[in-house]
Parts: sequence; C-alpha cells; structure tokens
Amino acid sequence: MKRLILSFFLTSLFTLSAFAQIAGEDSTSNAVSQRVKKQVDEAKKKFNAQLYIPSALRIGTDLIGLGASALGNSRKRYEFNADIDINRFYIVGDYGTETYNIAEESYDYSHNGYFFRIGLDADFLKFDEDYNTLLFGFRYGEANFNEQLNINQNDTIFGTINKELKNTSVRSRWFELTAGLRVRMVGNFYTGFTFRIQLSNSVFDSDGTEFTPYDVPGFGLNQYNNRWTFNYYLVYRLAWRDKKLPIRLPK
Amino acid sequence: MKTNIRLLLLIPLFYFILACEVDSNCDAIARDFIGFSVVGLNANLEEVPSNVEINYIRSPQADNVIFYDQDTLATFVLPLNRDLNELTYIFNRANDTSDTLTLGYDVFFAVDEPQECGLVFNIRNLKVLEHTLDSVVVVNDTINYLYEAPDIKLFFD
Repeated sequence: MKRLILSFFLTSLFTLSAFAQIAGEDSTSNAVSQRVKKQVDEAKKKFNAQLYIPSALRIGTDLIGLGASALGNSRKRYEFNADIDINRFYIVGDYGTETYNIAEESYDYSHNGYFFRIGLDADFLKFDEDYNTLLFGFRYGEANFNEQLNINQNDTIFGTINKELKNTSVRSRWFELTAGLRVRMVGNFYTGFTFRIQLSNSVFDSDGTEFTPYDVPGFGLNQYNNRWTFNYYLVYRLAWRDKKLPIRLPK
Repeated sequence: MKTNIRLLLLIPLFYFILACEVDSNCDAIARDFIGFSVVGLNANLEEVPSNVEINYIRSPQADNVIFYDQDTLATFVLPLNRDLNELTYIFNRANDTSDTLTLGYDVFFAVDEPQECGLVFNIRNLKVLEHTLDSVVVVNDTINYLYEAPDIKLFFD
C-alpha cells in the first residue's frame, strides 16, 4: 500500500512537472507570437502612417483656357491647378485670372478679375502604380471682378443714349461637384479632365444699381444659378518620395 | 488597364457632341413703352372705361412729338426713355388744355446672349412724381416683357 501511494505521488509529481514544462513552452511561444504580432502591427501602423504623408504635388494648367486665350479674341483665361495627396485623398486648389471683352454695335462689355476654387477629391484608382487617378470631389468657388458696360444707342424719339455703367468689386461664390481623371502620359506629365457641376451661384457686393453682372470669371454666365462645364488639364507631378500604395488583399 | 484608362480621356469628346446650352429666351428684355388706360368713375364711384380727345402728346426730353394723332383714346402706349430716370409727358387735349404727367423709374441694364438678345433692360419702381390730371394710378411698377394690361390708369378731369 505504501509502495502504491509512493508510486502515485511520484507519478503525479512527474506528470505535473511535465505539464508545467509544456505550459512553460506554451507561454514562451505565445510571447514570441505576440512579439511578432506587435512588430507586424507596428510595421502596419508605420506603413499606414506613411500613406497619409503627402508624397507629391501636382501642378497643372487648363488647356481649354489657354486655347481660348490663344485662338479667341474676346476671352483671356489662365488657370493654374494644384493638388497634394493624403493617402487616397487630394486637397485641391485652383487659381485663375480672366479678362473678357465683347463689342457689339450698340454696346461693349468687359470684365476682369480672378477666381479660385478649393476642395477635396477622393481617388478611386488607389492601387495604380503609375499614380493615375480617378477623382470625385467637391469645391467651393469664388470670383472677384470688376465689369463695365458702355452703351451707345440711337433712339428715334429720345435721341442718342450714352451710358457708362460700372460694377466694381463684385464677388460671386458657388459650389461644385466634380469628377476627374489624370492619366500619366510621359515621365511625370499627366493629362486629364475635370467635369464640374456648378451649383448655387450667387453674386454679392455688387454696387451696380443699373447693371446686372453678366459673366463671372471661373463660372460663366451669371444668368444661370446652376450649370456644368469641364477643364482639360496638363499636369506635372512633382514627387519627393515614393508613394506607398496600399496592398491589394487576395480575395 | 493603362490603355483602358487612356481611353477614358476621350470622354470629354461627348461633351462637345452632347453639350447644348439652354437657349436664352431673352426674358430680361423689357418693353420700352408704357401702357395707359383712360378711366372714369360712374355714379357708384366704380371705375369704368373712359376716353380722352388728344391732339398730340409731347415730352420735353424728346426730340420730336411722341404722339400726334388727333383721336379719341381709351388705351394707348407711350415710349420710355432708357437714358433717364424721369420722364414727363404733356397731353395736349382737343379742348386746348394740357395735362402734365411726370414719371420716375429705375432702368436696369443687362447683357443677355450677345448673339441672340444683346443688350436688354428692365424697368422697375415705376412711380408718379407729379401730375396735373384728376388722378393717376400705377398698376404695374415693373415693366415686364409681356404687355397684358395697361400699367397706368389715367383719370382726366
């Protein structure tokens, strides 16, 4: 009986020590896997953080404005565009100047001023290795300009009508929903377009009491509150580091 | 994939094919004349159509007599001067008496689709500044494009 008790005690001791060893091995492997997991998480975090560090500035100009300025006589519009990436998002800014003159038989109209747009785009080609972008976004647009209307009409009853009407320091603002594409052509040069649905145009600060503002730089005809248009850009991508692309996960 | 993306650059071509700016209807064009109706009162002091015998109508601001047609008028139109904010009409009546009516108004000019409409204007805040008639009532103080009814009612003695 004593031998039986002793052997049970020894067996139990051996078994417990064996289990204790296995448990010790488990805790060691858990610690390793947790360390690896931590390292992976940190790398992932670092990688994700890198996604949000801007990698390039894209600067461009509107070819349609340049074409209209070069080929047409009435409108001179020069527009510059820039955006900077934050992961798949782009902070966008546009600035442009415009002068416009039309001369008809009984009147001539002119304006000059500047406009700007600021907004945000989201890129839906985030895996593209050429950094081509398919963008959807929104803008706030504003124009500041002066305009003049000179009237010279002959009235059969009241004689000649001569008037010089001016609107100075006119401000206009509108909103835009945009869709655009930028595609790499050669080197760091990209080309592409931006469609704009322009909404809710309002003119403020017009001191003209006799003369309704006609054409808003960067927007177009003031008689429309909402309209649509597009720009065609030539863009140069100025990169200061390699942009980390998100990893496409297997399905 | 790249070729497909580059094909998307052709999308704006559809803009040129499909783009169709809404034509302006030149709706800012106002009439350059005012409609008048001659009105009297009946025994119940209700307004009734009336008429007046006119030799001619002139304006100190006009180069010529603006209306010369010895006639009995019930409704008629007279031109507005877009260069001024004030205009006087002198009604020379058949009985050799004259009545004067001076109107004030604001003229708002606008350019609307140069190829189609050109320079347009709109007359607002039409009001009577002074007169020698029995009474004058402004019915429409904004001169709209459509002439549907007289803008001013004239009550002669």
